[in-house]
Order: sequence, then C-alpha cells, then structure tokens
Amino acid sequence: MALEWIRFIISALLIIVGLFITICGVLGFYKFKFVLNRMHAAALIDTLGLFFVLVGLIVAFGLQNKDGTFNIGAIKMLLIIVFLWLSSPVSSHLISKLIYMTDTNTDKETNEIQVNDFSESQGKEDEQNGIND
Amino acid sequence: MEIYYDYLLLIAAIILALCLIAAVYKSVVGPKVADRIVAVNMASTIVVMILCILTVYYHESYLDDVTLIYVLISFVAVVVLTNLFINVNMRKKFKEDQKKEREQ
Repeated sequence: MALEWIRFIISALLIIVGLFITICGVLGFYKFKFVLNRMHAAALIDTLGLFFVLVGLIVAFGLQNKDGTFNIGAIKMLLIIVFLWLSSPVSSHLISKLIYMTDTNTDKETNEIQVNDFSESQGKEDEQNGIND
Repeated sequence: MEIYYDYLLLIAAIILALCLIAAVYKSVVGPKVADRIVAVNMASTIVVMILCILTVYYHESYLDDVTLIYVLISFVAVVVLTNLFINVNMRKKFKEDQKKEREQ
C-alpha cells in the first residue's frame, strides 16, 4: 500500500510540474508582443511541459498490466515524446523561416528588444565605439 | 486508490482544456500568419497531452495509436502551411518585380 502511495505522489508531482510549465507557456504567448518571442514561449510546451506530463502518466499507467503482461501503451508514450522532441525544432525552424520571408518589420522588432534589454552603460559604450551606427 | 488517480487526471484534463481554449482563441485573432501557425502548433501539443491523459483514464492503450498518428499529422500540417505561405510570398514578390521591369 505504501508503494502505491509513493507511486501516486511521484506521478502527481510530475503532472503538476508539467501543467505549471504549460500554463507558463500559454501566458507567455499572451504576454510577448512579437512572433519570434512568442515562438520561444510556445516551444516550452512542446519540450518540457509534454515531457513532464507524459512521464507522470507513464508512472501512473505502469509498465505491467494486472495479469502480469507487458504494457505496450507506456512505450508508445515514450515514442510520442521522442517524436515531438525531434519534430519541434524542425517546425520552429520552418516557422522562423516563414517570419523572415514574410515579415518586413523583423529588423525593427529585434532592434527594439535589444535596446530594451541593454543597460544604459552598455548603450553608451556602444555609442562611443560606434557600434550603434 | 483508483479514485485518487481519476481525480488527478480529471483536474489535469480540465486545466489543459482551459489552456487549449486560450491557444485556439489566439489562433483565431492572431494578427499575422506566423502567430496563427505557432498557436495551432501549441494547440496540437496540448491536444496530445489530453489524449494521453484519456488513455490512462480509460485504461485503453489503443488511444495511444490515435495520439501517435495525431502527432505525425500535426507536424505535417505545420510543414505544409509554412511551405505554402513561403511560396505564396515568393510568387507575390516575383510578380511585383515583373511589374517594375515592365514600367521601366
């Protein structure tokens, strides 16, 4: 009975962490203004959120059925994780290519973000060195 | 013991469904094409999580096969949509260049 409770707590913790990461990804998608930033928040769900939720589900599902046979469903979930980890970078690359080809304001948007991120002293040094020109 | 697993999975599925509604809303109102494609990609990932939760909830491992096919189709959808819009944009630019050449 104690082992069953430990299994339940481990799976619950993993699923809750995955849900937290998923909610963070969706909120980040609403918070950021430009597509390239939004993509960064959405990629969080594809990799880390899915990994935690599915590993928690594998722990809950168990590797053995009640009659002692091997549970093939858990291995299929592992296959889903592997395929999404392989396909998510490819689709991100294609979407960023689409943004580069269609969006005419990309230079302006990236410049705006750089200016916001740099501290004032950094900007002054760059002006002295002539990098901002 | 089973009932605690059921509660956990139900609450997780409800929270993920709310996230799914937010993602689908963004895919409808997103100002640019790229916004919509990113939102659709995100929504399909959340649907994959919900399908896996249903697999464990009903103890039916055939739903895992459905999920695998869904993952493959969502990846193909992103590839096709991006290639389509890149080609449309290239054609538009090509026609504009031709017009400029004729005017000259």
